[in-house]
Amino acid sequence: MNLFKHLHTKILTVGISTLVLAVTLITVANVANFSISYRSALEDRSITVAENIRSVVYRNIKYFPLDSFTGMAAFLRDVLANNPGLSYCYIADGHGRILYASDENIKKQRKTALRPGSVFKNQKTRGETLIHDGHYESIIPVIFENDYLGTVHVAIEKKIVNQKILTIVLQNTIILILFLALAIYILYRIVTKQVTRPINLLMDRVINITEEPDATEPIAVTSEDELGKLAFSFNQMQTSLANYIRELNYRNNALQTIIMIADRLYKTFDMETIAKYACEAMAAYSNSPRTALFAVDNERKTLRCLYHLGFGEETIKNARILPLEGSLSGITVRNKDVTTSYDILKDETIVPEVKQSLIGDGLNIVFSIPLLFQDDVLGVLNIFFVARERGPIDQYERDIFISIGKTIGLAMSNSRHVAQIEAEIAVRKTAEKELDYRNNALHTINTIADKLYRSFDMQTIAREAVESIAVYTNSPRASLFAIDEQSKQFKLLYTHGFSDAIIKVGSLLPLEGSFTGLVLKTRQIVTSDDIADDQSMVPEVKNALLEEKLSMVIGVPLLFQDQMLGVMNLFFREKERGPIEEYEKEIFLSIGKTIGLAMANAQHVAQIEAEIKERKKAEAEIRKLNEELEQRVSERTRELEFANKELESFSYSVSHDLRAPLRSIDGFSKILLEDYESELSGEPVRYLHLLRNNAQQMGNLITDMLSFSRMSRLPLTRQKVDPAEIVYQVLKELEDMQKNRQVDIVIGDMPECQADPAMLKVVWVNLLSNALKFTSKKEKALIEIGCNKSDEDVFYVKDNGAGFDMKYADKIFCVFQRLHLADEFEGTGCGTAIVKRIINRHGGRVWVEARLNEGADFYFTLGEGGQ
Amino acid sequence: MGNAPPVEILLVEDNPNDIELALRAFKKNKLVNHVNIVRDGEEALDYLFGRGTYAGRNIADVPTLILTDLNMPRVNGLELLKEIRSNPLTKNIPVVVLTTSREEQDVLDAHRLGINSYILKPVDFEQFMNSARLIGYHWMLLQKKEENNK
Repeated sequence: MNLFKHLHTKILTVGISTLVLAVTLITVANVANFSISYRSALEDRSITVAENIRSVVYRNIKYFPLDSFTGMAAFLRDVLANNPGLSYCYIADGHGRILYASDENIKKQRKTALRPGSVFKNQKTRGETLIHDGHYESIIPVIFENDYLGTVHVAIEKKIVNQKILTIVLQNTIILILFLALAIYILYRIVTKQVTRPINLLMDRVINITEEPDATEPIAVTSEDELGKLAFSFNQMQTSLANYIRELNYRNNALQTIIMIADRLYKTFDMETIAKYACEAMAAYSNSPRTALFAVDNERKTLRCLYHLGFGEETIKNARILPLEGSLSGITVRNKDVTTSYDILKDETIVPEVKQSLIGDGLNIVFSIPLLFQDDVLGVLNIFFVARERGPIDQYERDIFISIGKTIGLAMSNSRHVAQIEAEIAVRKTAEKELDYRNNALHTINTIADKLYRSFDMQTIAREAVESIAVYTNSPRASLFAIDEQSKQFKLLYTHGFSDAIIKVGSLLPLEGSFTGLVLKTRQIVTSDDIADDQSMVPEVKNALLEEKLSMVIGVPLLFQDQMLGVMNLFFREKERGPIEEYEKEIFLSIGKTIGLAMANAQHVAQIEAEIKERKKAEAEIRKLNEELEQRVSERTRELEFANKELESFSYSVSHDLRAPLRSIDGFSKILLEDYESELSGEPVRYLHLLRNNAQQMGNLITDMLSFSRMSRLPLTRQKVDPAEIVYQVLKELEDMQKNRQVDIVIGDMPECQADPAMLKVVWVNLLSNALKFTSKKEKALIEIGCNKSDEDVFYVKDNGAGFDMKYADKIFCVFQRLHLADEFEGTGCGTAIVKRIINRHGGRVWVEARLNEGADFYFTLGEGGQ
Repeated sequence: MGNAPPVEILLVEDNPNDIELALRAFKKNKLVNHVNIVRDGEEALDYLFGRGTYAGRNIADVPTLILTDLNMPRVNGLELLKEIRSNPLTKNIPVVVLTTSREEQDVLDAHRLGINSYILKPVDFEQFMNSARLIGYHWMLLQKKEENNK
C-alpha cells in the first residue's frame, strides 16, 4: 500500500486510529450516561409536579370529596402551562377513572386508564414512571388518612425528550471532533520531528556512501534512543568501510605487482633468469636498493645465491653460500615466514662476515621472504633497506611478501620440474636405445635358438651356434669348446675362420691355466682387450692368435642351469669393435644359456638313447629268461603231473596190492577158525585171533592213509553247507559208538558256512568219532559242539575224555602220530591229520586245547571263503 | 523147473586167494550156481564174445551175473565194464564189482559206468546176497539153492 511507504505514515495511522477509537468509546459512554441522567431528572421533575398537584389535592380533600373539586381542571392546565415540556397531567380515582385532566381529550381517550390501585398496594410508595402511549408518565398515589383515593399522573412526551438528548449529543460530538483534529495535528508534528527527519538524514548518507565510499564525516547523534544508536553504528561502519577500502586498494596494487612478476617469471624455466626477474621486480615494488635471491640446497644444508641486485662483488663474495643453520635466511626457511631485522648491526642471526659487508654498504634493515611451493621452501629472497628509507612492515605487507614469495616459489618449482623432466627424457632416450639393442639381440637369440633346438647332434649345434654368432657379432674368428669330463680338458667342437694350424694347437685346452678356463671358473663373460698383453692364455695359442692379428677376445660361458657345458670364444681384430657394454654382457650370457640349453638337450637325448638301447637289451634278456622260465615251468608241470599220476597209481597199487595179501591172511585165518576151531585149542586159536586183528588193523591203516592222500588230491568245491545238518547225520552214523554208555551231547547254534560238503563231513566224522572214542572210558561223557562267533566263525568240538598233555599238541595233527596206546584207544592216528589237511585246503585254521585226563577241545575255522 | 535157464555167474578175478575165499563163501552158504572163473578182463571178454581160448563157445549163452575185480592185468575192471556196456549182446548183464574200499566205489560212481552193485572184498555171503537182492537175482539164487538142497 502506498500509504505505508513512509515510516511516519505508519506511526500516524496507528496514533490516529487509537485516538478515534478512544473518542468514540468516550462519546458513546457519555451519551448513554447523559440520557439516563437526563431522563431521571425529567422523572424527578414530573414527580415534583405531581407532588405539588397532590399537595393541592390534600388541601382540598379535607373539605371536599375528591370528585367534587371545582377548578381542578383549570389548575391542572396552569400547572402544565407553568412547566414547559410537560405534555399532560391528570388525576384518577381509586378505580382508575380520570377525574380531572389538563386536556379534555385525555379524559375521553383514557377512560379506561390503568388501575393504579393494583400498582400502589403499598400506599407509602412515592411513585414511579411508566412508558405509556409514547410518553413517560410519572404516577404518585393519593392517600388520605390511610384511604387510597387515587393517583396523580404527569406525562412528558417521549419524542421531545429524545430530541433534547440528540441535540446535546450532537453538540458534544462536534466538540470532540474538533479536539481530535487538534490532537492529530500535534501528533503529526512530533512524529515528523523525532523520527522521520533523522531517518531521512541517515538515508541520504547511505545513498551518499555508495557514491563516495571513503567519506568519513559522521552524522550527529541527536538522541540516546534506537535512532541515536543507529546513527552511532552507522558512523562506525563508515569508518571501517573506509579502512577496508584502503586496504583493498593496497592489496590490489600488490596483486597487480604479483601478476606482473608472475607474468614475467612464468615465461621462463631457467632458474637464473627467474632469480634475476624476481630480484628486479621486488626491488622495483618495494623500492629496495639491494636484493638477493638464494636457493635452498637440502642435501648440502646450504643456501646458494642465484642472483643479486646492487651488491658489490666484495659483499657478495661472503654471501655466495649461506649455511641453513646459523643464518637469518635459514630462519626464514625453517619458519616458512618472513623474517625481519630492523637493526642488522645488532642482529645475532646474521653470518658475521655477511653482516660486516652489509653494514659496510650502509644497510640497516632486511626483510627475508620465503619462496614457497606448496609446503616446501625452495629459496629465500632478501630485500635490504637503509633505516630512514622505510618503516616497519605491517601484516598486509607481510601477506603480500608471502604471496610474492609463493609466486616466485612456483616459478622455481616449475623450473626444477622442467629440469627433472628433461633429465628423465634423456635417461629414457638412453634406455630406449638400449632396448632397441636388446630387442635386436633377442631376435638374434630367438633365431639362433630356433636353429639350435632343431638338432640334438652336438656337432651340428656347435656349428650352427658358432656360425650364427659370428655373423651376428661380425666376429672374424670364433670357436666353441665343450668340457670333456673324462680327460678333464676343453675339447674344440667347432671353429669359424681359423686355419688348420691353429686348430691343431688349440683343439684341446687345459681346464685351468687358459683363457677359456677363466670363463669356466668365473661363469661370466670374460674379455681380453689386448691379447698380446693377456697372461691367462696358453702361450702357443696366444702366438697363433697374434699371428692372425687378433687383438680382442670375448669368452662366453655356455651354461645350462648351474652346469657349465662349454665356452664360446669370439675374436676380433683391432678397431673391429669397442669395449663391451654391460648390457651386451647380459645378451652374451643369454646367448650362452641358449647354446647351453641346446647342448644339454643334445647330451640328454644321447643319454636317453643310450638308456633306451640299454633297456631294449634288458627287455630282450628278460623276454628270453621268461621264455626259458615258461619252458621250465611247463616241463616241471609235466613232471609234476606225471609224478602225481605215478603217486595216484602208487596209492592205488598200495591200496589194492597191500590189501590183497591182508585180505588173504584174514580170510584164511577166519577159515581156520571157522573150520578147525574144534581141532585147534588154546594158544593156536588165540594166535589166529591176533593174526586177524593185526591184519584188520593194517587194513584200517591203509584205508586211512589213502583217505589222507585223497583229501589232498580231490578238487575242492565250496558251497553253502549247514554244519548242524552234517553233525546230526554224522552222529547218527556213529550211533554204534554211543551204545551202552551215557553220552551227553550238547549242540549249540552253528551258522551256515561255505565249504566242500563231503570234506567237511570227513572233518566232523573224525572230530566226533574222536570225541566219542576218547570219552568211552568216562562214566558220563559230555561232548559240546558249536560255534563261537567273533571276527570269524570258530567251530568247536569239546569233550571231557582222556585228553592229553599239551606239550604233545604239535604232534597231534601229524600223520600216524598217536598220543595214546592202541590198547587204550584204537585208531590209526590219521584222523586229526586228515582234519588238518582239509581245513588247510579251505584256508582255515585248526587247533586244540587239551588237558590230560580231563578232555580236549578242538577248534577250526574255514578261512576267508568260509562264511 | 528143470527147463529153467541155468544160472551162471562169471567171476573175473586175478587173485587166486580171493577166488578161493569167494568160492568158499558161496559154498559155505550152499550157493551152488555154476561159477565160471576168468583171471582178467581180457579173458572175460574172450569168454563173453567167444574169442581166444573160448572160441567156439556159444556166445548167446550169456552169464546171469558178472562179478568182477577192478585191478587186473591187461584189461582191468573198468575197461571190461566199458566193453560189456557197449556191446548189445552183453549190455544188460548185471555187473557186481568187487572193491577193496569205499573210496573206490565213489570213484567208480563218478565214472557212471552202469554198475549194478558193489561187494567189498573179501566177499562174504551176506554181502553177496545183499547185492543179489539189489539187482533182483535174489530169488533166483535162492531157488537154485533150494533145488540143490533137495
